[in-house]
Amino acid sequence: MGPQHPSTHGVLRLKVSVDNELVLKIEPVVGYLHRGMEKLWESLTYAQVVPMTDRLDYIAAVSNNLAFVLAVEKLMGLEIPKRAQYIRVILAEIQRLASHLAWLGFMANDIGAISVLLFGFEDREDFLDILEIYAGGRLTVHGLRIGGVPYDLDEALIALIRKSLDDLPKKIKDIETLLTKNRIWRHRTEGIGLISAAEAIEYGLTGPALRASGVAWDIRKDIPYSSYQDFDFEVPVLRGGDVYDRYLVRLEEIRQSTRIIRQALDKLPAGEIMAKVPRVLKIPAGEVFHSIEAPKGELGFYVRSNGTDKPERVKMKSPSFINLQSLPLMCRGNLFSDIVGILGSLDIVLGEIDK
Amino acid sequence: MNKVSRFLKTFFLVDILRGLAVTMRFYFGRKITIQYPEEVQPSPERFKGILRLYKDENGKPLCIACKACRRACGTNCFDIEGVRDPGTRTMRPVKYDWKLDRCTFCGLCVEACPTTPKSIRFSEEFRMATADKSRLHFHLEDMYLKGKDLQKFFQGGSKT
Ligand code: SF4
Ligand code: SF4
Repeated sequence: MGPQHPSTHGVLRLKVSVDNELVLKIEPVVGYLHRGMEKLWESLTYAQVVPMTDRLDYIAAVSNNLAFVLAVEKLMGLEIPKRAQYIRVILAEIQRLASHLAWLGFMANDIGAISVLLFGFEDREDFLDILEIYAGGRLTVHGLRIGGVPYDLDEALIALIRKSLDDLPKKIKDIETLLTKNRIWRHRTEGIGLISAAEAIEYGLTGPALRASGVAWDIRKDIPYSSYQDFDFEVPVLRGGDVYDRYLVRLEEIRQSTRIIRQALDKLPAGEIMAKVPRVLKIPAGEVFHSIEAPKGELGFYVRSNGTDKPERVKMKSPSFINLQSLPLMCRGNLFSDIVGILGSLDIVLGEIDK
Repeated sequence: MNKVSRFLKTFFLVDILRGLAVTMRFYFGRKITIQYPEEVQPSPERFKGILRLYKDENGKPLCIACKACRRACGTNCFDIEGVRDPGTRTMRPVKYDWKLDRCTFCGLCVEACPTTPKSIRFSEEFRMATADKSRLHFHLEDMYLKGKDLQKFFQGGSKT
């Protein structure tokens, strides 16, 4: 299967051994989209790396920005103003909504429900519009800077965010009516792509896929960053470990994200949006690792600095790459036609896998 | 009871009919698509269209050839050379090359530009298609093009 295949979400090649319709073995072949990002970053200043991280997981650009700037700020020991932290949370959660809605569309399309693709993309458009008004870009947003956020949220934008959030539950309900009880959807997803909690931990699975296997692990809750501890939200956990549960977990996460954004908007403190950062950013020598809960799972950056304005080494722990490793396990014994569904339920982005 | 109701629901295809109801509602509902190019969506204030150099209200170029944009750019889009005007003692660019095909639309150059108002800014122009690759390399005079002139430039018309 692949590298050019409509259901591989990019250029991914899967070597599949089959016995009639049953999958015996799968071997993912990655690297077709390799752009040498990590090496490239060594020749760029820290500020120049931030827009490049947009190109990793291009469905959720702000999350990539957030992971990288938090790592650099941790190395600098920089204190970020509260207002900037809240705006970051709002942007990151809007990005999560956009990412999950896009995923919902792709995933349903893979299984054959094309109308959901269109609905999901229509709903996602609201949130992309917000990002576009905020920072001027829809996909490659470049929405954060080292030290804070570039723009403030004004009243008009806050009102627009609130309106989009108010509209969302109805739209999600439509999608749920189409899918959650639909027998074709359930036949294609229930009991498919099983992975147990122990196996999931062993394979390093993170994100919604891990939580659908019954492991309550969400970095936003367990190691809060950027003021996530100020907000009251739940981490949905289900035990099934199949495609259907991954779908339900993500739907619930959409609801919880709207809760977080509402709280952040209500409590938005006054103050600065940028910490004091010198124009030429020289980071003290040292190394740091920081990870966040991106829509796809745990996204981490390891940054080593040698005291100049350019990083000596940046290594990225990308959730899609690690989640993909459990695909062979999940597909074992399933039908060939279920591969696309299982792959879809992992929510991979090739830009992030191949870097 | 539960079993009976589930059987009835399955038998009468309740789940499918519900889904179809949603589909039909969308079918007769408000259309959200617009007919490009007859209709064009308004672009927000911070929209990142093609980069342009601007002039002040007297038609004097704002750029002072300080090369801050070149230093800020992560993808080496710029090649700038300036001379000092003997009369006004200010710098002005004599060479300002910008490569559209390298640009990632990150906005770092705009942030770095020290003039007020900023000399280099994103315009609203999003139509950048061209069949001639050399048109992706802009020179000083091309950086001021906009609207019809810019499209003419992209289509391989005369360089102004
Ligand atoms: S927008 Fe970014 S990539 Fe494009 S010219 Fe400016 S700094 Fe360079
Ligand atoms: S465009 Fe702005 S930053 Fe670039 S050389 Fe001119 S004045 Fe300097």
